[in-house]
Amino acid sequence: MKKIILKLVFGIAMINNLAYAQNSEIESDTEPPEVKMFSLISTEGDTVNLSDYKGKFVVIHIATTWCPYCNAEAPYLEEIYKEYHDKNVEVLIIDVKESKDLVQGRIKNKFNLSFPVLLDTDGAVAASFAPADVLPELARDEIMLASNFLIDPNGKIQFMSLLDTKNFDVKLIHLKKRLNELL
Amino acid sequence: MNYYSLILCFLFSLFGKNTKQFVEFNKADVVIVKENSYVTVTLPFEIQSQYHIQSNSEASDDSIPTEITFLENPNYSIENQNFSLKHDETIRLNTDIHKVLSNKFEVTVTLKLKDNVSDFNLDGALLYQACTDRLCLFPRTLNFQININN
Repeated sequence: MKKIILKLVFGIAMINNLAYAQNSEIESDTEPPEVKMFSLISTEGDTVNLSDYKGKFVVIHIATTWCPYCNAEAPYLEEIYKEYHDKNVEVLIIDVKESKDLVQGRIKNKFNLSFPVLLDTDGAVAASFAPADVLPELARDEIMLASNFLIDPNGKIQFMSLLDTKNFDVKLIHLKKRLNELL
Repeated sequence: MNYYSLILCFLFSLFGKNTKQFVEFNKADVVIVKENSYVTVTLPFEIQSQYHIQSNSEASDDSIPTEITFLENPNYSIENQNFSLKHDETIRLNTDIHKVLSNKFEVTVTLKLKDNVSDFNLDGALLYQACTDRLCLFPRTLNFQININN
């Protein structure tokens, strides 16, 4: 019973964090939520299953080509990939509702990214990260744009951040801090 | 308007009809000034509180600039159009300066009328991409229409 109540409290806290907090770190005494598995095609045409990354840390960034904040973070995601890849860390960008050619040119090639950029052509995966009752007047796939997630080797979400332009963490300092704590 | 923006404008006008808008067209405050065969129309727009939209000029390559387009009409030709009374804001993204609009702005358009035109509509579309401090949203198209008569 105590576990159920804890999970409920944590669930509510997570929803609040998603809506209103710049950075959300999972407390050590609570159970982090499990990420929903997905399968998407990359700009290279490869099928990428999140389940294939089990046993690794995965940084996920949700983006579009026209999102200035996403583009500002892209070089720092590449920096994380280069700095942490040999420490069992992978990086993925999920682009929402845009064509392969556009994403290839404006994200993958423009920022010379070494890691996969995935195409969420119908926005379903981005929507799956969004809590149902946060900003219900908006489409589920648009409220997660420019957000970051850190998934641990067991598929648990250990960190998430939403856009906060007033305190824009372009260098992903909070994400790296959490990564360093977990490694 | 570049090719990329044209495609976006088309797509969002097709699929964006029922999406929530963050810019309002204040039809009641439209100002129309007629002089000979020219009509100058001032179109007032208001951006919802706490939102900003990308600048119509000085927008970075990574963003979708705010753009206004008018439907072609055999009754007139568009001679000139410009954004005015803008409330510009600057956001710093790492080392880059990023220009956005908030609060209110106007678009002034000058039409040259064809002969014997006395009653016609001006149809237009505003393409914009809005953000708050915590959220960036898909681009929207706000369609509007005003009637002009002598």
